[in-house]
Amino acid sequence: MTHKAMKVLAVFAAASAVAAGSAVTANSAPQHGGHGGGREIRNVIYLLGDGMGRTHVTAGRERYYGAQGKLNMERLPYTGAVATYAVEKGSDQPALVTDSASSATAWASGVKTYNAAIGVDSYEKKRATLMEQAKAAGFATGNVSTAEITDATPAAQFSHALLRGCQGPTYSDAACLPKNADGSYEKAPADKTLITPIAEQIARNGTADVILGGGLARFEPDDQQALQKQGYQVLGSFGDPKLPAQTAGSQKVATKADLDKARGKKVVGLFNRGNLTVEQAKASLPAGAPQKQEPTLAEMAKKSIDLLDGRSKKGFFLQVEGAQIDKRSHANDAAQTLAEVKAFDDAVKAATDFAKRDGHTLVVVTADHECAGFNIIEKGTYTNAESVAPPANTDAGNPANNSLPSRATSGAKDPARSSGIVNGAGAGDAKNFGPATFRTPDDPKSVKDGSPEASLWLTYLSGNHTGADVPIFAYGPGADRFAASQLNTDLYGKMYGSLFGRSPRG
Amino acid sequence: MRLSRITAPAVLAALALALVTACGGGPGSGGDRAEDAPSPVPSVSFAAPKQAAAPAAYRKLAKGEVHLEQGPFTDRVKVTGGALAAASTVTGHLAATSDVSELIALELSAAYYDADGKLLGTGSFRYAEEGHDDHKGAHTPAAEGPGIDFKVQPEAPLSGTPASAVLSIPVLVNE
Repeated sequence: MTHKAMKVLAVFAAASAVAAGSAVTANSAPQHGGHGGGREIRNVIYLLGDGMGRTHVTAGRERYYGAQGKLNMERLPYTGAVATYAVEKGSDQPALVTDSASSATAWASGVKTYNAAIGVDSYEKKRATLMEQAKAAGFATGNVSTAEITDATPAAQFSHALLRGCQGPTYSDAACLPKNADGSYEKAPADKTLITPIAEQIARNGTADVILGGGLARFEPDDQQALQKQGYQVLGSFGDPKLPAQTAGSQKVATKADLDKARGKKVVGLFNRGNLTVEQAKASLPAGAPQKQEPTLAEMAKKSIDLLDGRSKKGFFLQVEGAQIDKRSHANDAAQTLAEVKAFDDAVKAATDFAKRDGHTLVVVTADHECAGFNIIEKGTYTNAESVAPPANTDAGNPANNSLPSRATSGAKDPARSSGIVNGAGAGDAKNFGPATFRTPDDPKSVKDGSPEASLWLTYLSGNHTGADVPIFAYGPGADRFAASQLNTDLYGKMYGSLFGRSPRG
Repeated sequence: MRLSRITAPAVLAALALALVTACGGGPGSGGDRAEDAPSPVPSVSFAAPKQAAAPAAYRKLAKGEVHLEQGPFTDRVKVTGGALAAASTVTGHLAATSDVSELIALELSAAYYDADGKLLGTGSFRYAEEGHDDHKGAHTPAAEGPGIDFKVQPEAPLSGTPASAVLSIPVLVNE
């Protein structure tokens, strides 16, 4: 072999080694997690406010901290936006307004899917979730929500179901099988997991080490046995195995006191038979009310971090959902919505306080979709829905700007459609829907909520989700990756990269 | 370092290969592309979903009585006006009471019994909205708040004339 040929081969070998090294780094399971800004990422805490659009954040800030204040989530250094659309079933045709199930599947499994789908793609194919992958790779895992833990958002990390309503305790065609165009039920899938009640799956698949939330009524004594066999410390009681069906009388919800004492490596605590109690409602209950024994989202977040931290050398992956922002937005209850934004933001503080101490924790805060078209309107104004006609749409100064439909005059406020401020003078009128007014720290002390003098005027567009992008905030190593306009499916790839140091390929 | 005419193309080709490999697999690359097939699902598979307990073969109730069986969701609803009507239908009104969020799925089951208390058959009433109901445009009344009127009908012809019924609520799902 000539010297020139030897030289070419040597250079090729060296350069190929670089390439091979890159390939190994990119495609094999690393000993450690991803890196960001030179720091190793050991833990990922993903928090979402269900239904929390940009206006929910702004209104929460103004309500609790004033116009110049900031929520804890707004103090995180990286911000961006997330597009949330779903797709039509059996296709990739965008459905522009998502539900919680489709959105949660997007970030949990990296695929766009149909509304109501849990952990399956648009074609009903089961897709691995980030929490399952983290668990399989040796990370400790946790799933926390103020909703039933079988509800769509938590469910999409640790179960797979054709329909989000298949929550349990038992199977039914109506809850678990999608319908064909003719109204008949689809044939049951070969993989019966997809029609197995979500509670039954959660109790047996061991995907999350720490499970905190509501939804005790979805579970039965055999689920408790299955959990305990896997080593879970079960707080409260799932019921009496001698009964054919469980009731409020046979089950015992977990309490904050139970949670405080929990020391297990795996812990399940379900603090309400349904969704947890709305914070504002809880605050107004008498001291002895059972709902007062429910922990706050911040308390559940802090405890789950305590339980997960150090449990695995790899680190942990934790999802925390503030579910009631959405539920109270559906109801157009601005007072409860704002209180739930605050409660969620307190949980963000618990996560970021830990992340700051730890130095190797990525915190991502976002939402699954906006709910109800929440808006801040100018003090003393009203919405189109409250008026006899929409605003004028003609330009007398420059008729070239006139458009259709042509409206020469603006509508006036219709007293029949709005009888006053919903959390004030109009509270007794069921037909009334807006505005709700709130004092802020910038208002004089004499100003009350529900008065015309309060500076924060809020309205809703509808009682359903909207297609608006949602905000995202991030802190910690690798947080800069989230400072972008991105799809909700991108969050899966970015969090996967943070946990595993590689992209999500098979 | 100066590369010779011979070695330069080899180095460039190999470095391009390295760059392509590294960029394609780096952390933070998107996960939305079809070729980004995730790892096999490591979750547990299930052979068959858990079914609700079958109704009792014998249940002696007063003639015309519609009994609401206590179950996982009876504390979340109020059922009024339950009656055994013509054509073996069980009618009544249900309102969700304890959950503040929207109701998206509801199922009521009825077990029919003859005058001697013998089970004659079963029926059901199903309410669904959102992704659970593919009948676009069909108006269904909201089941929360004021509630919903229900009519449970036998799924198959009963084996006799019903004298009473036991009503249960196996499915209740809120938003």
